[in-house]
Amino acid sequence: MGDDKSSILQGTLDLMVLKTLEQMGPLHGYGIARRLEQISEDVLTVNQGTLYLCLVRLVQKRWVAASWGTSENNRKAKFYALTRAGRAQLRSEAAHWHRIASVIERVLAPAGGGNPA
Amino acid sequence: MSSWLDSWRVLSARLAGHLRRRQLDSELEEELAAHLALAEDEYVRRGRTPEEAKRLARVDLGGLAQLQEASREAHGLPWLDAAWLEMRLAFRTLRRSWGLTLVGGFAMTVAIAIGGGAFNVIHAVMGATLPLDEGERVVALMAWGARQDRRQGVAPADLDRWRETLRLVEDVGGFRDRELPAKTGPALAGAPGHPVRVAEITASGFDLARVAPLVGRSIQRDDERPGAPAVVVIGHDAWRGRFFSDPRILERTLWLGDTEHQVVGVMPAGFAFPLDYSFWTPLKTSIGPAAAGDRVTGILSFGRLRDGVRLKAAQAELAAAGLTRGLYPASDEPPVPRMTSYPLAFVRAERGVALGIVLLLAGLLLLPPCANVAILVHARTVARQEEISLRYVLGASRGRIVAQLLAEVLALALGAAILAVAIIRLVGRYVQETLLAGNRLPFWIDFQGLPLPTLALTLALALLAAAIAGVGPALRATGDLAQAGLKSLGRGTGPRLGRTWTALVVAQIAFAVAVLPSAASMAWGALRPGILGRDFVAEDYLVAKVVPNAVDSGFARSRREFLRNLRSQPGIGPVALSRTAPGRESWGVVALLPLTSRASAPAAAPQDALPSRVALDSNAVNDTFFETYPIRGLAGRGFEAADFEAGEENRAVLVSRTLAVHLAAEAGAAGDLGRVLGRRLRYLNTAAGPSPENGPVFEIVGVVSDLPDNLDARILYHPLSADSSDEATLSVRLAGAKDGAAPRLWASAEPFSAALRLSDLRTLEDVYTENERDDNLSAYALAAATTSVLLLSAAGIHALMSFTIHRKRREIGIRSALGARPQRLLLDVSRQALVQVGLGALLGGSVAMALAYWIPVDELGGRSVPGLIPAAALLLMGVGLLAAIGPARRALRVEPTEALREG
Repeated sequence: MGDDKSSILQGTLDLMVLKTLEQMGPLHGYGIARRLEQISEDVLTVNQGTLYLCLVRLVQKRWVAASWGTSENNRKAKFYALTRAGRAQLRSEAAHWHRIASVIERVLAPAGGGNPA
Repeated sequence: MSSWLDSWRVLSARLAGHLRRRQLDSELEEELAAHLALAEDEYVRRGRTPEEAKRLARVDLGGLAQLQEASREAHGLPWLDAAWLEMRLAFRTLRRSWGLTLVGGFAMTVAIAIGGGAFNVIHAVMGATLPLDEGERVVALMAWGARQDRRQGVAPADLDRWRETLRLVEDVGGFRDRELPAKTGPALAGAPGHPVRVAEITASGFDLARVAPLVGRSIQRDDERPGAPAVVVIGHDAWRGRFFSDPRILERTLWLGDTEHQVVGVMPAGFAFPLDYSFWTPLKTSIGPAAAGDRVTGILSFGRLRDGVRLKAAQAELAAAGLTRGLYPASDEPPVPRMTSYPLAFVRAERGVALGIVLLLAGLLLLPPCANVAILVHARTVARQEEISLRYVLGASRGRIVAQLLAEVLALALGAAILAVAIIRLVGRYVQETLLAGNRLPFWIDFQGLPLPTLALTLALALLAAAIAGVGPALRATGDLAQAGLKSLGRGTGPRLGRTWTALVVAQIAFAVAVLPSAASMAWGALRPGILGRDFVAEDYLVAKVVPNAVDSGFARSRREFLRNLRSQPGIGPVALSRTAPGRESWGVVALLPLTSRASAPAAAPQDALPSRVALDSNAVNDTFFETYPIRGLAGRGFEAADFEAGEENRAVLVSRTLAVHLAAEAGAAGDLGRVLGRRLRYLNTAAGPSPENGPVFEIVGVVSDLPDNLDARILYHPLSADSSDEATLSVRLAGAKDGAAPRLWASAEPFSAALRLSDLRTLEDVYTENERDDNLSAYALAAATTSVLLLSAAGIHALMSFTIHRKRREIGIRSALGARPQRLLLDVSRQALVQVGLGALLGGSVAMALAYWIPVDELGGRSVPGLIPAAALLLMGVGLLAAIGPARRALRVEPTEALREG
């Protein structure tokens, strides 16, 4: 099972985090990691440490805002929420992703016809 | 969202993160703790034991320390931290090896200060733009004498024509310089006034400057009309100094020469356009047909490029407008019109060439000290080899180690640059306030400022210095030395300094020996007159230039009359004329021709292989010059009447004692002044450029004493004909009271003002003092450079000895334990260093001897000093031995047991 897990493609973690925050609303780091694992049905491995570095990057670009709150187990935790700039960025990156994915799909379809993953 | 905005956000966030590093660290710690707690709860919920849950949560998150480190890098500015750390380490290392810091820093400071200072001067003189509104568009319009390669005055008729016809240049006008005695009121009309410099200028000069008068008005077009009332505009300093800030200044008059001028305006403080003036009178160029023959000379024209006009286009327009033939002296080739940026009209050299030379020299000047610093840095790096190797083994990359070693040299070079900037500023202030005090400078020149290009060049020189001194040692230390160091960690044997570096030490000592005699000679030549004083009272002499006031107006005749008139005045002793004032002679290079080639051209003589070149200063003097100054004949004869009318065949010259001594030595008859009589010589080069191959040949007919007797100047005197129509310098020996002599001299020139005028009037003492100040500044710079060379040599020898002894500790220990005599031991260990010092001294001595062929390196102030070069070599060896004392004493203190245990 572990061998079948794929690493996240370079640069796509930002997009996935932005999308998760759009769907779920404000979440703490652990919540985002869990959500990504659930969505990928354990196909993707998310290095939880890397996730925090990704969050630092998104906060610096002001696509995500961070604030302290209380978690479900009643602990102080930092919650991340999508900003307006982040929402715009998500739209643009998602469109870009769809374009690229459709091109790759077209390129791969006649040769193999199967699923590249 | 545009990417530059994102980049800016990231940068500002990182900057903020850098400032609140600690807070962010603790926030992350708290956040990760929360993360782990949530993960543990989840695992427990899934049925894991608390211990297992804790372990799994930690595994999922990854290494906490690494995550915190990565987060710190993502939050802040890691390169800034790294650079700061490198610099802190560098400063600590520099403090620890203070010897290298002092010696290397001093050498770099001297080199950077000389290079940067020279650039600053060139930039101040040639790179400045006029501090006027749109000053960069102000241009000079000149009549350029192609043959003399210098600017001539523009004829008034041409100036008038340019004003009418040029379309691309506005506010075209001109000025000429006058020096006139000034008096402030009729009450003093009988007494001669103190001379002031006056700009006769067109009204357009004030339009061009765009500076409004403080009081009254400036010169207007109407004032230029023939017959218009005489008016003068004065500067702020003249208003304060001469008229005590009189509020009713517009009711006052000023006598300039023998004309009373109405004061019509006062210009604000600092205004000195077109050069350095405080008095402006109208330039009357439209002199009408009646006076067409009276050609006013010495006009420099100016203008302002119109909006959007390029210099090239305006130059083309001026070339098309041209100059009128027949308005310029017929004897020369006709001048051509030329246009340059205004400040460049006052300098002769091409800006690009001058800057190129200075930049090249500045770079070259850095090489010797930086190569020396490189030796010292390398020597110290070798000593730190174990430390470097350890860092290498512990995982520091080669780049990181190179960066650290470079940072040390960079810190040193930057420190040197800061000091150099301070020195440039101090020297600039000294030059402006002391050296040039009394000499009025063009208003745009400021040696005290530190313009951005100078600062940029100083920084660039520091970076270059760091690169020269640091890259080599750093690469070597991290290349093969890193490997050698690994082995040495295990074996405990010392590293070697390497052959290249030993050769560099030898070369450095050789360099010091080679330059020492020249430096000592030049410094002594510069400082000697000041130390020994003069054998005559230079205060007793007044010198002034006698300048033609108009073309073809009987200048030579008027000058003769003026001199005759002057001699008959009370208080005036002998009077002489010469091409330049004593101490201001122009340089040249001559070749002494062989005796056998008297009648033929030099090249025809079979034994004339290579005529030796002699650098000298030349002057042309009239028949009364040697009576006026205390110069006596030592051999041969003086000038005779026929010499002053000599044709091509008989060109008699006299030589000063110092020159005769030198020529006699060249002719193989050292000490025999008489042997130079009858010898013939020819100019190879003069200040104006190379002399033609078939140039005139001169014959030495006499030897005269030096002036002053202890100033060793090689001077060649030519006869100056009384009919010469060139500008000449008047020398007057005062016989009585000196007070009032200068105004009397001005007054006696007044009757001849149609043909001539006096300028640059001062005592001969002033001329000498100015020369000495210039020489002293050069002598100090030279002394600083020489001291740095000596110090560097000493430091190099010290480093060499230290390493030899460090490397041979074990050997010294064993031999000491076996009972070797300390003296013998010392000699053996320092043999290598001594051989290198000796080799360097020998090599340098040979280079100096070879140089002596071209440069008089074996002379002190013109007198040959036998043994000067060996003395320099001995001095260097002495310095070497002194530098070796410290390490040698350390060698003798080596404890045998300790040295053996280390092995």
